[in-house]
Amino acid sequence: MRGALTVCALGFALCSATPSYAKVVRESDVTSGKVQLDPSMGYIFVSGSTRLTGLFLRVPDQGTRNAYEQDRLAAFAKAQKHYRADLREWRSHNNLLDPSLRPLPGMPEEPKLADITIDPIELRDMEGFGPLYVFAKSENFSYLNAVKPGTWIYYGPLMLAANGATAGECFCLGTVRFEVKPGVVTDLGNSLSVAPQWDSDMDVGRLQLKETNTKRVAEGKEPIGVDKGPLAYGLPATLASWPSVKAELHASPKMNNYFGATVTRMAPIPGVLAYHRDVVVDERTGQEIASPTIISRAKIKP
Amino acid sequence: MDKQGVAAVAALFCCVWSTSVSGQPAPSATAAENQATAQPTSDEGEEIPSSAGLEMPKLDFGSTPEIEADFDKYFYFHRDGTSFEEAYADIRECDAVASGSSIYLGGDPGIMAGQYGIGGAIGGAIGSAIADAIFGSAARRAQRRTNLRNCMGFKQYKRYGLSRDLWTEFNFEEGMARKREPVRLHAIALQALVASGPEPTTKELGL
Repeated sequence: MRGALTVCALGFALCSATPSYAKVVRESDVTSGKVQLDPSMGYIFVSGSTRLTGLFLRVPDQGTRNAYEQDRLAAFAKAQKHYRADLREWRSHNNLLDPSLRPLPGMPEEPKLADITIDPIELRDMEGFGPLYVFAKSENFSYLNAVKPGTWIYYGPLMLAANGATAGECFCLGTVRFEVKPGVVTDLGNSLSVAPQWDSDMDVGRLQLKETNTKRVAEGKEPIGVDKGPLAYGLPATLASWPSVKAELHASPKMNNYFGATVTRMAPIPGVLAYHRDVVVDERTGQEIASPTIISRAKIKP
Repeated sequence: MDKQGVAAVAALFCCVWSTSVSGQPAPSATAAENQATAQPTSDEGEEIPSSAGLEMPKLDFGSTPEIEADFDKYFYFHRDGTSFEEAYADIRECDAVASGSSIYLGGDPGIMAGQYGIGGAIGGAIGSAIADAIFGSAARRAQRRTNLRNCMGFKQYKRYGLSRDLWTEFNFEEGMARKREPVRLHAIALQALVASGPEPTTKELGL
């Protein structure tokens, strides 16, 4: 039963690790003056020809690591408290039980700090965008998120719901990262959709989509799921007075599949991201990037 | 809800889950535990089993249209010029990234890849707990297969079909519940033996 409770606790922990949509900025808020540029915050702007969704993870900095360690120590203190209570209960039960009738239950195990795990530090700062809560929609759809400045990783076109459900894909096997400076809008434009050379790097989903579109074209129908148009950047006129910079994408290594989603990778981007088989290559330097050991989030059954 | 109530709900879900996977093929736990032996560790501290003593699984079978119709479920990987240790590390990584599917999606990968990888996620349905209990196991098994194909495909392993009977001798499926670790590790060792073994003579399936 303890195992079942642990699984439930893990589920609740993941459910609670949902991205923040509270810092989504809408054009009407800017025009009305409800939202003004906060020089302490960074901003991520995404646009595309259709509604979009995606998830960004912030690379933990020292402040995040310190807060994480404090939470871990608090979890350890809580585990010690539970241990002491379990130990008292175990002792009192053992005084009542007759070992000749049935074996006495095992003594509770004292927790060790090294064994204490809490929510993954990589999920401390998440920002999701779309498909709802657009910044503006005209011929294009755009999204603007106010975020903590720092380095952000594009985790993939993944949408998380408050009940822990996910939809989409994790780019766990290779993706891109970019810097977000305070007081500046980092403009991704439609680069996340258009820059990667999807046709050069098939996965099961893209293969099925290609087959579907081959049939559709043969039937005289428009292909689906193809983001059209050239690479495009630029903010709406509403944000003309906000400082902005075009996002500079860099290759980013593999990551854990924290949400149990479908996994794939961002397709190569010339000059930015390439692969030697499954090894991520930073095309800006030509160097391979070491990836961490991938760890399953599933509970191990001994 | 008090602690007992939570435990009761957890027990109910565990009961539903274990019942729903009882029909899934699984390698023999006893055989796996007998053969699983601790070995030296890799740079990452991962135990690397020895291929010594492992018996190459049978891969020859008489193909029929019915068997071929299930090649999307029952397949194995192979890559030329790959050592057992390399194959084991590759399969372990792909297993780690593919396991733990915990969410019923209700969408298919083709839809998910719409918008060339960014917007298609909108098509995914969010399942309720009841829908998940009914459909979740099959969805998770399908997602695991997709994840393995993507991950091993990026590593440039080729994929070959197998009959269900032969496949179950050295593979496992996971829907609602995870297999015991000795069972998984033994199966992965056998998969690595196959992946690094003689080149298959059957037709390659592609990604």
